[in-house]
Amino acid sequence: MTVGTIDIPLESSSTALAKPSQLQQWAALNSRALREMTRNGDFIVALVTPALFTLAYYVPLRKMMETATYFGGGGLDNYGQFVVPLIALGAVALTMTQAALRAARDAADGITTRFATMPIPRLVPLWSRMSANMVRSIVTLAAALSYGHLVNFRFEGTWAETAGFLGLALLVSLALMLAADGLGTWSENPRAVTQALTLPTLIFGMMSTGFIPESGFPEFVRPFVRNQPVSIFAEALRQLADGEATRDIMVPTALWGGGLLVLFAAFAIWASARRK
Amino acid sequence: MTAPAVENTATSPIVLFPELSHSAPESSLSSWARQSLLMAKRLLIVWSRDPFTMVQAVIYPAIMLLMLRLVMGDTIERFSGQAAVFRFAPLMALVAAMSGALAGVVLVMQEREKGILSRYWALPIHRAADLTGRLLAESARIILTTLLIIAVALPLGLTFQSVGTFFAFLAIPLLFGIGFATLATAAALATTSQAIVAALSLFMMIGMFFSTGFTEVDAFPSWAHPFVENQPITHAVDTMRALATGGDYMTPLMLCALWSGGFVVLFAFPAIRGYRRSAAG
Repeated sequence: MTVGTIDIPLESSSTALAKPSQLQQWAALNSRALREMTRNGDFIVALVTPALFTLAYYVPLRKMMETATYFGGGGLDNYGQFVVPLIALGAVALTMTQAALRAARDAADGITTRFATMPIPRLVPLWSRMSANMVRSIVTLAAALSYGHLVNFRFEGTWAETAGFLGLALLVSLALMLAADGLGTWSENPRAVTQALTLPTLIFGMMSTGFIPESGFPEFVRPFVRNQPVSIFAEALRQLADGEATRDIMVPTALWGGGLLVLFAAFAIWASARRK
Repeated sequence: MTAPAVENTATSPIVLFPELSHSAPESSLSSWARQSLLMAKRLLIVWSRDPFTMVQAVIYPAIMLLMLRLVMGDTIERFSGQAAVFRFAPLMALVAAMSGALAGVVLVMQEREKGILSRYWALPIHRAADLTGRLLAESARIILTTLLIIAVALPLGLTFQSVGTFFAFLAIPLLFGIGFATLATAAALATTSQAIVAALSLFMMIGMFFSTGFTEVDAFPSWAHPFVENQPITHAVDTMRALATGGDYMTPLMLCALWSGGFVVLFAFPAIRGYRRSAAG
């Protein structure tokens, strides 16, 4: 029996081919997420939900809100123009819940752990989920604005202000989805995470100047209503749509938006990268 | 569970089973009543151990009532000339009844997937006991949630004309909830798709906003009036509002009873048939 040595190059061409780039891995996971969303009817939900929000908020409230005896003597001229920014934010909040559900399901089913054992950079699954979620956000935002057009919502500002409106809505969406994804990955409980998100969404959505002006609230809650992020985002979106953006509202919007994005991105990265 | 005792005799072993405490056949009315109560007790224990069901069915409607009063109360009072709590409290009691029914639907679907419904079918249990047990458990939960809604609404200005009207007020969500629960159970057992829960939630959301529980009929555009005036949630809210304020409640009560009774009559048989199909696997 002869004993010899065999030289095997460490980086053979076949190994190099078998090791996809981070971009390829992201693309594969992103398409997986999009296929699953399509199969589960997530895009149908993304189209239907803003329609429901438009019906639920605009139809019953329009007559009351446009009646001139309210809010210190002056009713709203066009309730559609007033409420659609909240409808857009509400639709985005729903994609947040779906994002949390998706991340929690992946974690509960062991897919997140499985990815962690594979030669995939730890943050690639997170970014692939985020990009797929952003596609859904764009669909739901487009739907919300289309239905908004039917209830007299119009972009009356410059192209830059319209782009600012869309950019801000998607920035808020990204921040919320990062928070939701982090929460879902961390909790590993789909049912718990959807319930945990329902209450903050309800409180911040309703206790905002999104669908009634500040003067419609009792005095004691007005400071909270005026200064909470949903009110600030809704007011900023309203000003951008009307073409009347002012520094007074845009600076707090940038601070809130940027701060939440950084905070929630850090949380999502921590939840995805942590080792159990 | 202890194994049956076996006496070692030289000839043949005698197996001693525990004596039956009930001799009535499984299809008898007494078995149905007893087993329905047992099934209801089982469900109430399951729900009490599930914080998510409790939060969804009990806590959210109470918080929503506070939110609506805080956000929309003054506006609706100015528009309708009546305290908004007389609309919101009935509406949230009904929403709580429907939310609980939806949580029940999720449980039915889970039990079907796990084979629990098939297991019941193979046991000497009255065929209708599980369905009636579910409806009894729903009734207990609806009474509990309505009492909680009333407790939250009283400090907000809800009043009753008499003790009789209080109990009548309590009975309306029960009447409506049983009808909706029958519909929801039939729908859940008719399909394996989880989309049924979303569809029922949709029905609930539209019904909630397009009703007199949210605002007056006059606030809606004219094209929405026929739907708002004739849908079941409106009749239930109008009955409860009339009971609380001392108005005429007979007409809305009759219509509410017709809707709820109609749901039970129309969907009880499909629900039983759904049970049979689920049990067959």
